[in-house]
Amino acid sequence: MRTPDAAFKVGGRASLRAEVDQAADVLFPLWPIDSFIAVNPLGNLTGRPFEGAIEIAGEALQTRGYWDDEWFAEAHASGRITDADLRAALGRAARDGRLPATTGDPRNHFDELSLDPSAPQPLGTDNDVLTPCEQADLSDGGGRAEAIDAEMARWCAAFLDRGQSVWSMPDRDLGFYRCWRALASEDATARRLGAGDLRPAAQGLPDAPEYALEQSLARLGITRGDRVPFLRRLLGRRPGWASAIRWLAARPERPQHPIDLVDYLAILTFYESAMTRGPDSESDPVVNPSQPQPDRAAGSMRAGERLSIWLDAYEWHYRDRLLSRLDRPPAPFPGARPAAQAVFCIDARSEGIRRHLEACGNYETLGFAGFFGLAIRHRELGATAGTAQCPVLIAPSSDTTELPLAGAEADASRWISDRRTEAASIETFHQVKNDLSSKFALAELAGWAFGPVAAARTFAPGALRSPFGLADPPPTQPVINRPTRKQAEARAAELEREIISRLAEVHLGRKSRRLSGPDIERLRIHVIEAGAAPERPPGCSKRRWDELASSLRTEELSPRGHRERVEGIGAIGLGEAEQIQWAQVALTMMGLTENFAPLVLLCGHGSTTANNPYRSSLDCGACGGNQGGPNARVAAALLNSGSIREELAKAGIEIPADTWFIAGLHDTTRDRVEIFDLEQVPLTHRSDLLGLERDLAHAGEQLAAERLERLPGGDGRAAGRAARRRSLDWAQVRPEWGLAKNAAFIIGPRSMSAGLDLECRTFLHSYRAEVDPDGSALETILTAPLVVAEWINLQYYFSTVDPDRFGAGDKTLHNVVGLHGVQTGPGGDLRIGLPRQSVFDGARPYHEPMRLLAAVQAPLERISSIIARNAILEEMLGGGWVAMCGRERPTDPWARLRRDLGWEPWEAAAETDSTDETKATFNGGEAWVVKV
Amino acid sequence: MSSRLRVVLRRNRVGGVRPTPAAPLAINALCLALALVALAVSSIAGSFTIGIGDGPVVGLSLTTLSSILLVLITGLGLVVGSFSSRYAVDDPRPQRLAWLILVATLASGIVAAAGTLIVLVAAWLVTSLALAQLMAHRLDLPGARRTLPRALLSLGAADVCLLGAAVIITAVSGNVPLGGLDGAAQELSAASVAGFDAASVASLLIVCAALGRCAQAPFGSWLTQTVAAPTPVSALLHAGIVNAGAVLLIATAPLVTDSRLAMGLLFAVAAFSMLNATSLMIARPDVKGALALSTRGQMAFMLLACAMGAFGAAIFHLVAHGMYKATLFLGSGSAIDESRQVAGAPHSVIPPASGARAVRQAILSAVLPVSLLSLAVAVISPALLTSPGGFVLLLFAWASAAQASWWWLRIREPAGGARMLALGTLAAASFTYVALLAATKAVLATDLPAPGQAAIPGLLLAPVLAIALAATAMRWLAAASVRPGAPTGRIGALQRRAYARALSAGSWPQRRPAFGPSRWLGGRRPSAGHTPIKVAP
Repeated sequence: MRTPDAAFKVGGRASLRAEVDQAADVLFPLWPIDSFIAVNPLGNLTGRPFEGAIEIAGEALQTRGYWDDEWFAEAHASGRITDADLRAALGRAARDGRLPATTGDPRNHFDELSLDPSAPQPLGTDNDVLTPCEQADLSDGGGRAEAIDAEMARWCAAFLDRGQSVWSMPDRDLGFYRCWRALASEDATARRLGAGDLRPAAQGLPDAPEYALEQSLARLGITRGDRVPFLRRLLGRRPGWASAIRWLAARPERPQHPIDLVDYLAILTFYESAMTRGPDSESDPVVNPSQPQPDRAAGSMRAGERLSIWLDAYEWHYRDRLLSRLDRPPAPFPGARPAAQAVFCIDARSEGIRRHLEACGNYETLGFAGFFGLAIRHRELGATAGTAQCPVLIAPSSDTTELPLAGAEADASRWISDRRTEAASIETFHQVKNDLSSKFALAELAGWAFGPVAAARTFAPGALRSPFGLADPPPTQPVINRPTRKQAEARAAELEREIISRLAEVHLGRKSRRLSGPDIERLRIHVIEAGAAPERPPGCSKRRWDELASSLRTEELSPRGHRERVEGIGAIGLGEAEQIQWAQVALTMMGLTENFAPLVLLCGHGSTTANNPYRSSLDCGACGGNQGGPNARVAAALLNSGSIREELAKAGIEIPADTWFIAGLHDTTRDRVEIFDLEQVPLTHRSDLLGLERDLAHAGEQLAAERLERLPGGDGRAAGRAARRRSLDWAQVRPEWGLAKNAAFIIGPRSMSAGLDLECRTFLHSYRAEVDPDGSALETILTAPLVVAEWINLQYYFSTVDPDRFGAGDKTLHNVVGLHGVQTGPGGDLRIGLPRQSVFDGARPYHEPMRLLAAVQAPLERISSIIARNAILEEMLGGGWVAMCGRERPTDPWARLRRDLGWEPWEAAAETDSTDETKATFNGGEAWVVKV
Repeated sequence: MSSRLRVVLRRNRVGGVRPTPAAPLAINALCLALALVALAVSSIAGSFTIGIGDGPVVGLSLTTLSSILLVLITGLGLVVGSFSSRYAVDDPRPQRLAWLILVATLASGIVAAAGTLIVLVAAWLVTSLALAQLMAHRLDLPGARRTLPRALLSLGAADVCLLGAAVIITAVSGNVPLGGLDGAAQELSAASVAGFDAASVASLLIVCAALGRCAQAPFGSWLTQTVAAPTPVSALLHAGIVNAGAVLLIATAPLVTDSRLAMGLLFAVAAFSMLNATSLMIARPDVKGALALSTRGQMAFMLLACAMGAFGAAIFHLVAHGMYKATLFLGSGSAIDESRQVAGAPHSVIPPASGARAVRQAILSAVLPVSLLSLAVAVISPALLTSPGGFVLLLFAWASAAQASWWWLRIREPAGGARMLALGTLAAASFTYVALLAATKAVLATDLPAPGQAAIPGLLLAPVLAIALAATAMRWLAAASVRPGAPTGRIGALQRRAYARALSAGSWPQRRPAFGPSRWLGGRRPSAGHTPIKVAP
């Protein structure tokens, strides 16, 4: 078996890999849960129209991709979808060319739209594929496929474990397939699969995963033409771990434990073939005769087509109303200077705080992607590694960090030391807990402390503080300017001296104090530049001194380590040209180029939740699933810099000398806005700032009351306190609704939407067409923030229409696995998507699954030419993943973008039309005719 | 033109107001208050009983011991119930969940405070029923239907054993008060069941029941499946219900501890289980699975204490572990946050690994706790050393302290404040531990049965501890070695075999399709309308 087919050489390997890649288009990379990224689960199929992508994914994943008939039926009964909406949808579909070729009026299809949830609902399409194991299960009721999937989930969880278990899988550095093969060759327990002893078969597997996959495919009798659908089905059956593997395999850096989908499929097909022709059953795989295809009259609609019309009607019912509300005379231009301007993230939750803040006084608010256009990797005070504070679509282009303010160095080093102690305590506890001898007495001691803590956290959430949260972080300032070579050298030397003096303390104890500053510096020069070693201080034993000397000879303190350190420090911050370019682009994009208020708040957002594996899903998507504070701080610091303002003035953007930028963070769970770097604010602005803070607090309280009304278990009384309590409650599965109900993306000046209560359902991006004649700002908005919003929107869409396939299921059963994500209960696949609690309120959907509508106020030709320039937009808008309406001026009527990317006038479906009848029935048999 | 659209609605999908289940919580709070009163009364005025009838009452016997257990169980029930009332807000049947948690709590409480054997057995069976219902609470989930029957079978097997023991004892001695089992034990020794000594048979059955409730081999598989229930159910189960095994053994101690066979079985199974379950646990990559396996190991530890007649030690472990495990389960969603905290924390400056340094660290880690614990024992209660199980507990405490010091020295740079902090914490922990142990011993002195004739000598535990320590030492070696390479050859093969076995623990054997569980439980079949992949001839 070890000699591969002679024909299967390098070319065969490559073509097999290509087939695996093609089959994997039903999967989208799954980010680890600690940096949850909302994605379109069909993101690799966006080259096709929405409906076609759903068909392909539906086959592989066994899902319909649309809401069930019963939800549409209910929406129809409640008037959320009217017959007029359906008719309008049919018309749009006909004009888009989405209806089966027909003759005559598209409305002839109206009665084909009938819904009957009690009728059997075929999944996906008519030609779902089954693997041999699934066929065998279907014929004899066995559970082979389930057993294989459980097996795969177990191996994947063990291999991809990022530190949950202390006994990790041996030989992981060999790669997934080889590591598994070594284990499977010794696994005496594999008999539980019911296919006998699999050890000899595993031992006989070839060394390369490609050969093994090829071999299993041959044994399974999969013909070349069937490979892709077969592999697609295998991947789609349990998409979780496979998606995580896709993420890992797509990372630029070489992983410590290599794994890719060929490994995964080689193992999976090994089990498939063993379970269909295992040593126990020598029979051939069961072959089912093809099921007769249901006959379909030419030109009539299939289930998917019918549901897509319903979806379209459902969406436009909302969109019609939204567009009508936006269709109003423009608000008078605010000539007077506002008391403050506040820039919030485009996130739908910002709409609420903006609306309430504007109601408090003379404030102007703007919307801009929450990373403020700064693709930075930010390292917090003392942190080991930085977090990428930008959308995952782009790579961070600069590093930033923060340093303690002058005078706060001592606080900072104490704070850093506390963080070290905290991390070491958690890690030590983990190690003592997971050990054969030490875990018993640990429970006996820790239990006495844990019991009261559990009671306090349950009955009085937030009353207890972490024993390590002794001090708030010390005041810091972000480092924005790139240091000169000399400064970098000096800073590196400072860090090295610190390391050396700590090592000296470790080895020499109290005697290390006898080493003077120059002594340490001599030691540093000694190890890094091979200078002369300093004298051993008096009273220090030779042994200890030698130990210190050997400790100092590390990679970190080598000449190379020093060089890397200097380079790393030298790369921190933004170069001068970058800073100016950023400022100009960012201000133009948000349309803030004149009439600056005395205070401009740049406000990121983040969330506070307890005991919540999905914490990151509530943070800022534009910041890569992190909190947006660092970006806001860096942006404000840059815009306060005098040299940048000078350069901006040359480019025509005059920021008055009395304008001060401040950074803030909107906590979306508590609706509080925290303002950073207060000590930097000039005295002249203090009273304005106090007023702003008061109004922000008031707006937050109002928004909290509004939000809590919609949250189960919440009411609007004492809302601020209730929201805080909720955010700290470890028993809370739904700290906030997040972006649920998001449905539209409005791109244009705030005057379009100011004064309207949009119910936190719309992304708002500020844009002023008149300051962007070449359309470059709009192009950026459409190709970056709109794409992020599309991913978020489709994540919510798919998690709602099939919460078990595309969503993560019920949170109360979640079990964190491998620190990668969650599984449900004791085993099974890694869950993708959002938990049920994010989109459902009890048994009913809370999120309304609709694709995003982008409403843009800009010249239509400009929009069209941008679309024509960008393939991603062509696919997105032409494929129906996002709908678009546009108008050039507030007084113009809205135009809708067709699938062929041409414009047509938008017209709301009639509120009522009395010509038709709908027959509605209840399942019970009672039937009546409703006049609509 | 006119056309007709037919839209059929389903009636059952009407969402409603979801009332928070308040009554079960109120009842639970009341029971906690009563338990606190009972604790106060029994510790001041001595034990008392409440119930009907005189002589052997059908009711509760409230000693300090049983009151403490009642406070623990109802307290946990209240925390878990209150947690669950918010956590399970979207549960399809929240009222059912709340009432079941209450029933399971109260029944477990009655087991702990039963006055007679019959009350104990009845409450035990009610607990099992409530437990089965809780495990079946989310049958709508994939896989739950398939695994539940086997789990219930292994849980039920233990209950059958207890029922058998109760039948034998009641047939011979009538309705026995649990305090008066000494007399019954003598009557039972005289009687015989199917040619065997009735006392031995009853003892063996009781031990089997205890092993089953504590999820020890071969009954243990049910516990890992309970992870399929919502988090609060697991918390209650692992903290308040599995403990009943030790409670049963203590209640029936006068009978069971005289049977060499029963004690031997208990010791052997628990010793195996302690090492086995714990080694499976450390390979688990999922949080809840590891916690469930950890419980099995902890329960084994507690049963070992019972086998040695160290009932005080068993109770001490039971109470502390209950609070410990409930908290870990309820907080199991925090694993991601914690790992993020550790990963993002500033690095310590740690000197590069060296053999000499590792040896020094190991010696320091081993010696320091010995001195601190000895000092604590000498100051607080020297009698601990000679009390049953006292020495063993101190040995394990030493193992924990040594482990903690060793990891701390590796992770946190041993300089300045950090060193003092570690030393202070270790000293405080040692003194607290010894003080708690001594206090438990003093409080329970009068309520605990004496170790019987058949109690296993503590020396027999030495090999178990030795294996556990060897495993710890191996981990230290692996962590300390500068370049950890996977062992090759025979050792490597052995290690891989052990790992594969550990990883597959808790998985369910796949039966031949004809007996496939999905058939007899009506598992969902794939819907029709598929085209099979064409298979080449």
